[in-house]
Amino acid sequence: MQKNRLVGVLGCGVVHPNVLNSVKIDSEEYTGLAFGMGVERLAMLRYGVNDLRLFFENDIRFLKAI
Amino acid sequence: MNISTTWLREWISPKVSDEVLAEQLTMAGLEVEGITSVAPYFEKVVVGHVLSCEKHPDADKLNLCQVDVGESETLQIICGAKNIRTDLKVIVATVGAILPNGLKIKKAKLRGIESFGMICSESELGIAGNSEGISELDADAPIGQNIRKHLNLDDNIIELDITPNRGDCFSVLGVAREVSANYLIDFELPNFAVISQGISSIATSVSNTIACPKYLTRSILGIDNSVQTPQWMADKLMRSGQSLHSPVVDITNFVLMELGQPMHAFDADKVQGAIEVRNAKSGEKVELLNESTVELKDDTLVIADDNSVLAIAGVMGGLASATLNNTNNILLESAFFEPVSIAGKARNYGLHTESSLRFERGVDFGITEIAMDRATQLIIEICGGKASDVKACIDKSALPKLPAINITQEKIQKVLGFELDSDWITEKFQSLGFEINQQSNNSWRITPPSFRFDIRIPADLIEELARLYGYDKLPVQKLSLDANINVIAEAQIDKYEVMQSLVARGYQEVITYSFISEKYHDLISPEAKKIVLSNPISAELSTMRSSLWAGLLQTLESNQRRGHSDARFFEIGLCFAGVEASKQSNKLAGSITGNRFDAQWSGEPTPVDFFDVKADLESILALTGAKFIFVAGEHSALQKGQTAKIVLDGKQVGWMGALSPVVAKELSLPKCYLFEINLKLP
Amino acid sequence: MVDKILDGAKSAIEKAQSLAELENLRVSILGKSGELTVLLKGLGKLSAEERPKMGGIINQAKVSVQDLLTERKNILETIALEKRLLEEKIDVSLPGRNVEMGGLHPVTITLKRIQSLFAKNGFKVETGPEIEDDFHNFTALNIPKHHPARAMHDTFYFDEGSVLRTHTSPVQIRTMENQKPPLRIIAPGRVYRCDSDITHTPMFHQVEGLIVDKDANFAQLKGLLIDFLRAYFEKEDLKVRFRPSYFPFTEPSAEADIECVICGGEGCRVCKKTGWLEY
Repeated sequence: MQKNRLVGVLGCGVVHPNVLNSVKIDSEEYTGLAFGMGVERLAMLRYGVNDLRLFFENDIRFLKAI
Repeated sequence: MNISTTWLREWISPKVSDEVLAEQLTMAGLEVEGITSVAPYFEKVVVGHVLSCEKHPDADKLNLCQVDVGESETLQIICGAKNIRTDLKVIVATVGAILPNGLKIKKAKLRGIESFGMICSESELGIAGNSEGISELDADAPIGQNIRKHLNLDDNIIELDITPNRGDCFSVLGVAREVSANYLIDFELPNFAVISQGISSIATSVSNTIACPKYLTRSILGIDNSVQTPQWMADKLMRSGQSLHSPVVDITNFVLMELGQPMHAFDADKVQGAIEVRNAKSGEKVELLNESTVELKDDTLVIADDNSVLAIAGVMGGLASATLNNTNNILLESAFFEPVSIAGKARNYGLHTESSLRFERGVDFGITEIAMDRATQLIIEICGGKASDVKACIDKSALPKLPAINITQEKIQKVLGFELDSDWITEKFQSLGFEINQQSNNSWRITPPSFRFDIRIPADLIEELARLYGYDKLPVQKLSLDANINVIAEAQIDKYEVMQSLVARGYQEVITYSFISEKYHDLISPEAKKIVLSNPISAELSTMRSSLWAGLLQTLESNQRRGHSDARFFEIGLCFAGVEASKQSNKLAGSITGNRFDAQWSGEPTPVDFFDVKADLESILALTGAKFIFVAGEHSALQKGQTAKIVLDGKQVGWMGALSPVVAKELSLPKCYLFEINLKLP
Repeated sequence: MVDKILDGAKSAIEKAQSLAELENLRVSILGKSGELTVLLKGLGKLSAEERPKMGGIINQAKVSVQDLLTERKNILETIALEKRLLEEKIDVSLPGRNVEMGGLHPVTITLKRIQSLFAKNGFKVETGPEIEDDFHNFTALNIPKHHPARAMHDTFYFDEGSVLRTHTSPVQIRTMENQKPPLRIIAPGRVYRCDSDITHTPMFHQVEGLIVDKDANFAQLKGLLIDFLRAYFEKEDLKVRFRPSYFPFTEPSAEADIECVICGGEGCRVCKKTGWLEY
């Protein structure tokens, strides 16, 4: 298996015209840009946490370590 | 989806390594999750022919073999496998070979007799396969041939993560088209010629043409389904993650992988009367190929004969009409089922098949006939038999419409933020198989081909151009601050101020699940509305919290178990009084337990009490500047006589007090004090 | 007479071992009925010539005694202080006795950081309900019934037909329903997926952002996100790679990859594909 050297951190794109139309914004006149990211993932990468579940176990030792 | 690169390269082969090709596919939007070689590195392993095989004179379990490996002299090799015998074609690791497990093949003496190599199994070469004894190769395997070549081991498997919009890429053909567009290599679908004669032996009709606009059948009579599936096909199927069955089933699976058209073959002799494609009658049952029997709902499209349901359309065939090794006559099906009518059906019955996956995402309605001929050609080639003409039930009006889409240079520039060269745009549209109906220098009228059912609007065309240009190469611009934008962002100052204040008073913030167990709900807020998930992960996580105390008490309990008995926790989060937006409100809650300060070198530890938590709460309430009062009250989770309502302007906004000893006992918790207030105050 | 008193006082003061003793001496010499005070009161019995002379001597003696007392007092106080300091000496390496500071949850710390980075670009924070209706969570986001993306979202349902939001995108819809463009918002919050294993928890947090403007374009989006990621990871040369992806509510859609900041691309548990949190 090849090593995955890159990590996906966020998704983004130009808002689909159907979405703008569903909220009655003129998709010809306006362009929407959207993006989204997982907070735990960004926290894991920044603080070197390797187990997602730690965030919700609320072990005081883990919480204080960051 | 897994795809073998040698299979792909039989269709189209850009002059780059498999790794570079994989990277290019990722950058084009077909994400490669991994690339694995079929066999690890080894050499000096060849096809051998066992000329003789005798018992070792001094060892019961060993055999003394003379093996022809195509050299001038035969090799004497000692072998302990039970299935070794004279005249077998085998895999021979010759002296000097290093096997993937690190074993170096050397000249050796076993019980006084010399051995010049090793006869191996496929698993000893690090490839999947039967590891019982040594591998038995085909009788016609060329003696002395490098085994890597013989077993086609210099092959890589690319694991693709196909996004829901690219159902067209669930096949070798689909990926080959992508490669063609990316490398600008011309590509044409081969012609699969079939000789057919006469009408199909079984009549067919479609009663729900909305769900099934196209239904093709053909009978093939007099086949031999007991022959072995050819090795080249078996390799391709296995490397795509498919298991092997009988030749007819293998061939339909092969066509599915090759062209993306799911197919099915019925044993024609087991079909009673005529075939009808219709919706199931509620309560009808069918025993499927996986030997499970399902009761059908009337929204499910089925293939039925005069007596019963033969298959769930686009999902799975039935056991009763399945082809077996002794099947002589088959009815071959190639159909186009409309995605929405198939969507979710497999899931409803707990099924997930290669067929349902493709039909749900969309299959090319232009490939139905081609796939039918391809499968027919392969069946006749491998199993023999005579094919009838195709019986086609087609409702053209129900087939998907191919839209004409207008796109202008101006629109492309507006979305992407820069100008693409017009000639380049035209070239890319053509390479994708798009039909350009009209063109000026800066506008195009495009009709996508039948396999690109995801292309519907100008934005879809812009994405095609962007990904072929390379997202990474697209320019970058600064986001300017528009005068109309509120520059001073509304920070949640209040919330963070409260948080900081609690932190300074020794509280650790926690984040607990918004769903709790019914037990906690009933103990803490029995009077609150119970909002229960229809499909919870577990009973522990089944009920939406109406109070933050459940999570805090669980946190307290788990930290207690880990030896942290002096603890102050708080959480801010939504609590749920109903599913409506207005019934979901933010609350702040805290808990304290244990002693005032860390028991340390000076002084006696003193346990916390009501007034400690009250002081903390008052300090936060002071941030609001409003006047709160504490009134004695009763709460099912709190201790009678140590419970206060928190009141602002005559309205209750929270509770505080000592945890009820009854609840504490039930949850094995020590004495603790709690508060909870609404974050949004009246 | 005065000299005798003065000598006696001098030796007594020098011998005094405590402030209390010293005070007693002061009273016995300078107090209302102290030796020198008594002498001073007896001045009236002397002649007019002798009186000022004797008075001067006594007063001189009083000053001397007072000086001796003060001097001795200072010495005694210094001794007392040193003694107290010695007694009160502490091991300063022992932990402080205050309320131990608490802390914010790492998710909150991260959220705050993300919010403040976007606040600089004029993004307003918007929030919304976590139990959502089908329209806001799916339909309005171009995910109609039967869309394959619905199955991918592993949605938690309630009997009433509501769902736990699978992303914070419904907040974008609610914002666009209630506010007029141009818009620039981020929506942080909890989201839920019916999935639980080593790399998935049934609840996690997202921050989603939305810009609606007349001249917004993909190049700006790329610029904004590259700047954000570099600021977030505090790495000015962080490599960010954009590649095509698919989301029902955007077209074109992209995913941004970065080189793993933990292992530097060597491959570790965090960056392995299995650790990928679905957007």
